[in-house]
Amino acid sequence: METSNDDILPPSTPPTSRPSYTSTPNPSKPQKVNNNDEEAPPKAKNGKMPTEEELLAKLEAANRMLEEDEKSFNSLSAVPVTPGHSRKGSGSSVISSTSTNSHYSNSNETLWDVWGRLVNDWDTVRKRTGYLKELVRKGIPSHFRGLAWQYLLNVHDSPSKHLYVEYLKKTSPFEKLIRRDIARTFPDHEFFKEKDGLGQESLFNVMKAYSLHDREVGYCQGSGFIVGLLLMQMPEEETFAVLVKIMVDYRLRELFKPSMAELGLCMFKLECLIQELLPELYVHFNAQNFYTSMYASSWFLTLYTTSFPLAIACRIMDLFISEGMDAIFRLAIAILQSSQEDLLSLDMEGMLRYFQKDLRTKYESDPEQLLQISYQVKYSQKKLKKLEKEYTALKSKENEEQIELRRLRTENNLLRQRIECLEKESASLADRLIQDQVNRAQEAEITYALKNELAMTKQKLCDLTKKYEEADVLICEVKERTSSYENACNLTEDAATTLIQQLQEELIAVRLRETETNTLIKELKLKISELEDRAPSNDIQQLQEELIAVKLREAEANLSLKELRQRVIELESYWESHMERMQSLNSPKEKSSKQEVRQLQEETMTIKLREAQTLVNLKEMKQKVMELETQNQICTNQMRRMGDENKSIKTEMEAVAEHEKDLNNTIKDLKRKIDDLESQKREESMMFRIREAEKDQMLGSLKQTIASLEIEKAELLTTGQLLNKEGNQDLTNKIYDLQEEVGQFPKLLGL
Amino acid sequence: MAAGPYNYSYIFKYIIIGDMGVGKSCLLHQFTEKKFMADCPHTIGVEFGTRIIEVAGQKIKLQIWDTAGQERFRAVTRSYYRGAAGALMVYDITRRSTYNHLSSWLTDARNLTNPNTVIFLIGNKCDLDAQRDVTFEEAKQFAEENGLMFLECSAKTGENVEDAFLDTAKKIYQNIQDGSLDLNAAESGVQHKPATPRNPLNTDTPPNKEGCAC
Repeated sequence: METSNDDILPPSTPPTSRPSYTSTPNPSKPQKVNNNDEEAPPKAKNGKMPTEEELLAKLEAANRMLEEDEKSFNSLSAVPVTPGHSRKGSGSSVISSTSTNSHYSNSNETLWDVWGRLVNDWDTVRKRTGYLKELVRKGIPSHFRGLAWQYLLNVHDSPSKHLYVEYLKKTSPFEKLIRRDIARTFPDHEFFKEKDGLGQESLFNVMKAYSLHDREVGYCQGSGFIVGLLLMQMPEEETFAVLVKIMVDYRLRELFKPSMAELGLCMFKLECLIQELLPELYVHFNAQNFYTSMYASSWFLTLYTTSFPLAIACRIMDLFISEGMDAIFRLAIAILQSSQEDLLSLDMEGMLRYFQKDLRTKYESDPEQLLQISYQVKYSQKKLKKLEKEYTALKSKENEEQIELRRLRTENNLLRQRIECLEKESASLADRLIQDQVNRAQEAEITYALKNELAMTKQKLCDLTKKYEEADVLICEVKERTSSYENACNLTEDAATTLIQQLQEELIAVRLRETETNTLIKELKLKISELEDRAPSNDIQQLQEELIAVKLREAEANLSLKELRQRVIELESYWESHMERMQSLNSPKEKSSKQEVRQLQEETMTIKLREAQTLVNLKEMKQKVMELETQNQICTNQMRRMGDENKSIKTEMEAVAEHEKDLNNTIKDLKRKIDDLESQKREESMMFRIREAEKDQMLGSLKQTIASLEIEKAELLTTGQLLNKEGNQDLTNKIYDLQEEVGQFPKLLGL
Repeated sequence: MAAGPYNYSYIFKYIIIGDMGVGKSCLLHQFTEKKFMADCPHTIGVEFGTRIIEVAGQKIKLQIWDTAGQERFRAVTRSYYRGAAGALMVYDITRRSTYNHLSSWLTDARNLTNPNTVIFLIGNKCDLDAQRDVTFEEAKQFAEENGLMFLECSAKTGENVEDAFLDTAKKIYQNIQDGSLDLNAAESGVQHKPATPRNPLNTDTPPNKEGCAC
């Protein structure tokens, strides 16, 4: 890879693309010199110190030397590189680089003096901007670099240095973010390698201070590399002052603002520059979908500090500090121009790799070459300004579109949500629909069942209405009745009770009547039965009489029949005689006979009619006879039955009579027994009365003896008293004896 | 590596997104170089890496865009989402804030990529389990809720790094096979049989020589 890079190292860019900006270098050179010359005299006029003129003379001499260097460089680079010479070319390039390096060292020696003097007398030199620009383009000696940058930016006595100390005491909201990137800024560089070392700490301090100083920008990734490069040249405070200056003056802070709009602008500008200056490459990039931001973002955001080795990065920083963003654009064009050939042969991936890797080492050996190309790049500032306007217009339009897009997106989201909602709703509705259909089917079944039921109920209703009508009629009746009752009911309760009483009475009366009727019925029944018992005999008699009458009639009828037959016979005989007479008379009296025949015929007819009538009568009579016979039969049957009944009753009667006789006999026996018992009782009572009398007699006699004994006792007592005690014992013994006797009396009486 | 202009039949475009310092560039470097780069400068704008992998017998070239993590760089990196077939969304398991910002990254990914873009959630720095601030389970749940694939990886040890890139590729390939990813769509992020390169020499450079220029 390196070899191929070396092949391209010398300005091998196709001449076709060069004229646009390389056609002017020759006039530009004298211009530069003129500029220096022009600027020199005023200084000389203004010069106060005599040494200044000497200095100027020296500077001019140095200028001339540098121009010669440039020429030599140009002459060197102008050496055509033939394709076959690639190896040799590489060798020559190395030599050339060393030669330029030697030039460098030569010029460096003089530059040292120049820069030493410049720094000492900055106030006068600073106004010679053209001169300074050229001087810077030659490269600032590394020892002076830090100072030179400060002087160039006029920050050597900036007030921001004082602010820095203040900022260090404060805490920044970006501290965390800054810390996160500190170790990842120049991680390979000796100064920043050590974790929490001096380099990392000072880097952090400056970044933090700036984030506090410029709150709009705060901290932006990329700025750390710029600060790191500055810190390599000067202490923290000075770095901070330079940073603040370049951020503001060179619009670097615009790049780092949160919107990073300026970066887009830079990309756009660069793209337009490529289109104008390197159209072939522009077409290639477009064809490969290779966007400017893919490789150039870091160029602007880190001012090439991440793209090139530090030596080149420092030179680029010199230019940036001296010339601003223009230097960065020119370098970009220079890089692309010098790499055009390589890039055209690569696809997107290859180009990306080229920018990420190969580019870094491509100019390592000869940075001056690239810088020189960049000095040659010319483009119209006016056009860039115009582009800027165009871009801002485009951007604002884009912003509007973005806003519109965002609006549409939110609207879309809302609509999507609505769709989701609606879908859910529709799903639920579908579910409901199905459910409803199922329900409907079920309902249909139910309605069918209900219809059947309805029909049944209708029938029932019809029946019921019929019944109802009937009931209505009933009700009407009832109403009529009730109305009649109501009339009664309208009476007072007392009346009701009386009515009830009446009704009860009536009821009782009815019941009585009923019992009466029942008894009547019973009586009647009895009567009927009696009558029935009696009737047959009457009936039979009547029937027998009828029968006799009928038989008589029959006999009469028979007689009349016989008479009729006799008459018929008479008539026939008469007819015969008549016929005989007719024959005797014959023809002479035919006419008269005819009349007679007619008469006779009529007679016979009448007779026949009579006969028929009699026959009818006869038949009727026969029928009557039949009826009577049947009646007779029935009657005889009845009679037979009656007879049987009579017999049975008679037998019963006989049995009952016998029973009665038996009972009468027993009654007689009992009467006799009663009589016997009565006589016995009389005898016994008589016997008692006799015994009573006897006892009364005995009682009387005993009472007499008691009385006599009591008299004796009294006599004895008196005699005893008289006799004193002589006969006392005999007496007491006698008393005992007597008392015993008295005691025996009741016993005798009890017997 | 087999030489020849067409030693792969597909190109899948990937994008790596996520907060600052979660290890996006290191993941890419680990995948492309199979090495952990301890001193990796932070990414300015976008970086790029490639590697050829094999899925179902098909050689697939992964074109991976590694983006700057700082919020304000989204303005720059947003244009790289377009036409990405796979998006690796990275957070740092030792820093909850990087996990909390996932929803914002996911919104960007969803808005700026096509609906078929495979979004793969990566919890990086799983070697630092002692300093873990986000549990595997909750991240897994987040992934499931948002339909993302998920793995915890370590760019340092290389654990699961291959799987994350390969699984994404497998999923994309599967989407192609089942027809859900239309190769003809403008921003499918997949190219089938790349167009003839201008210089075949540059296309068959081995993948291990490619990769991020960190």
